[in-house]
Amino acid sequence: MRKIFLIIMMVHSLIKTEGQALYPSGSFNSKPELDKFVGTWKWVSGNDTVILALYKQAIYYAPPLNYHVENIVGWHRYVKNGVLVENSSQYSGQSYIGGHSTILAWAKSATKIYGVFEDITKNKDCDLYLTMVDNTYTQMNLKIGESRGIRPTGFQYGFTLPTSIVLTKQ
Amino acid sequence: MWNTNRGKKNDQEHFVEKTVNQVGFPYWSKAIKKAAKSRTHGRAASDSAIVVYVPFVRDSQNFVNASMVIHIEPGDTTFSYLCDWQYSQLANNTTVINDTAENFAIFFMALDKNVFGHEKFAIIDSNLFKNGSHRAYYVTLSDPVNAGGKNNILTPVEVCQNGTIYWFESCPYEGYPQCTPTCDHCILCLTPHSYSYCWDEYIDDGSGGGGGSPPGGGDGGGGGNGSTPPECPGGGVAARTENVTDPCTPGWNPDIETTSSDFPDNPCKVVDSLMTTNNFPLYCSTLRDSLNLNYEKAFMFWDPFSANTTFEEANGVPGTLGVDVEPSIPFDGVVHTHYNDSLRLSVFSFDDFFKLYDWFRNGKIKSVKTFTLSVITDSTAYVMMITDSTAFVNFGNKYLNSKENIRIFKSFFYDGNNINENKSVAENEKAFVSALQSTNAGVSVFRGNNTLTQFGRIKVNINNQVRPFPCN
Repeated sequence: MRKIFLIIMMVHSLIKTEGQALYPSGSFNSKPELDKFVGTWKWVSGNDTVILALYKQAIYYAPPLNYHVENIVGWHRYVKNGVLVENSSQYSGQSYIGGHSTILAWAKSATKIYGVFEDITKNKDCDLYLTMVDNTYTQMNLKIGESRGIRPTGFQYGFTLPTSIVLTKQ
Repeated sequence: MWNTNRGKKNDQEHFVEKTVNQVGFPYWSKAIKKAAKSRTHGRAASDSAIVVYVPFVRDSQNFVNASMVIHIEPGDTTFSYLCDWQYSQLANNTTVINDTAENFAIFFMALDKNVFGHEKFAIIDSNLFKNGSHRAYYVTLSDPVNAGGKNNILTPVEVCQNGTIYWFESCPYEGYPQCTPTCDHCILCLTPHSYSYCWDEYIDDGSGGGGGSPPGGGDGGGGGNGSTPPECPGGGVAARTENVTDPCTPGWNPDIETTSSDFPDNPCKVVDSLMTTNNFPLYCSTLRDSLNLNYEKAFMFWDPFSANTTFEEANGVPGTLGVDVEPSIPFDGVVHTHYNDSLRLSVFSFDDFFKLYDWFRNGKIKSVKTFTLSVITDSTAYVMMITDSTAFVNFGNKYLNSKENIRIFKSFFYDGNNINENKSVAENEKAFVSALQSTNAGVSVFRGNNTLTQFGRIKVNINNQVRPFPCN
């Protein structure tokens, strides 16, 4: 009976934290579910190529939040018709702060991450969804969309990169 | 006041026509009566003496330009006139804010408030209410005029008026965006100074039906001949500044674009006031009806509390969950939709919130104290207001000061608070309010009811519950 009560209390406690900031001050929050996204990913179609270099990095959230959470930090390279269109890959692997990354993403589920993708040409942040195709974790869907919300000044609609492709882990 | 003798005199002198031509018509129902004090010209004071101020308004104007001053004592009734331009003939030390010129100006502002409800006055004459190097920008009247009831002229009352003078001041924070390159006229670049103006002890309507003095004493340039108001002598405006080009006009203007709603004691009054306007509820209901469209809609608006309010409509690109809201001039607020879509959020998105900061940083917010950003969805409605500018600036300097930090905060917004399209209304609401609270953003959130007729401020309490958060 006591065990049941404790379980109920634990469940209640979990429910109670719904909607609150998920990470306590001072905490370090590992995200092992992101590991499957780490690596170099490539899409090729004729003379067009997209390459993503994704890393897992602990991001610090300034006080009063004051905690670390592991996120996916990434860089990309896009070649269209054999011509380099966008490239941040020269900075790949650098620390997030000052590292000129063009991707920051976080777990949306065990097999899906959501975040920011920078369209360098259009000088804007887009919504990025990366979803594993299957449980081999060797292929993932990339979807890019306009960010939700009131547009920033000088907003340019549309995308430089293809918005829906499947990348293969290298 | 009117008898056969006066009637005959008018037949000869036509003083009624002259008075109407000069200062317009009397507003008898808005007359202010007060007990007269003892300063009379060569007459003994009488405990039963009273003074009645009758405001005069020209046909085409909406401000008081003159006042008939009726001095009533047992057995003797006299009257004279005060005109607004006479302030310039009174003492006005530019290092003192309560000398006779300012008392006179406040007196007329109080009449304006009593007749038209004006509570805010732009100061045109830069010598008025000047305090050393601080030039007054405008004056607000905070307390009701003690008029003994606007339609009751039978009860003698005191005439006092609390005023708040807003001086140009240095910027509130180093690097504050709206102070670049120079401090402009934004509310945050002004310093308020409250002062209580009472002129009852100085009331002196002159003697013998002429030569009355305005509040604050002094000769006042004459009060007319007892039959008609004094004529403006015209000529130069040496006593005033270059801003006043017509010597027969006052050195202030009622700011008819705004009312007391612009400077409420708390943000709840702003939102409540918006709901009493004709347009804001209409924006909300119109947008609620548009949610089956596949694009976002928005109404930007200006001067929402004025009869001259204006708005501009914006439509997003179909299929995209966003809308361009780029006012060409600083504006007073915007209401926008999150239309029905599988990815739409029931609360503000991060980009919505960031845009509030962007407008703030770039001087697009006309008045921080009254600016509102609102969102309408099929099941929710919220208003956001910056209620602590200092906290908002500090927040922005910390979390929104670089591309990298903006993305970090975006991840905090969505990941750290679990805000997303699949969460319930209650969950997203709590998460959104909690996100702002936990980062000391200086922003308040108001939740609308189902019928969009009322918005109430909310917060997340220490028990992690969303609760009403009145403004007191």
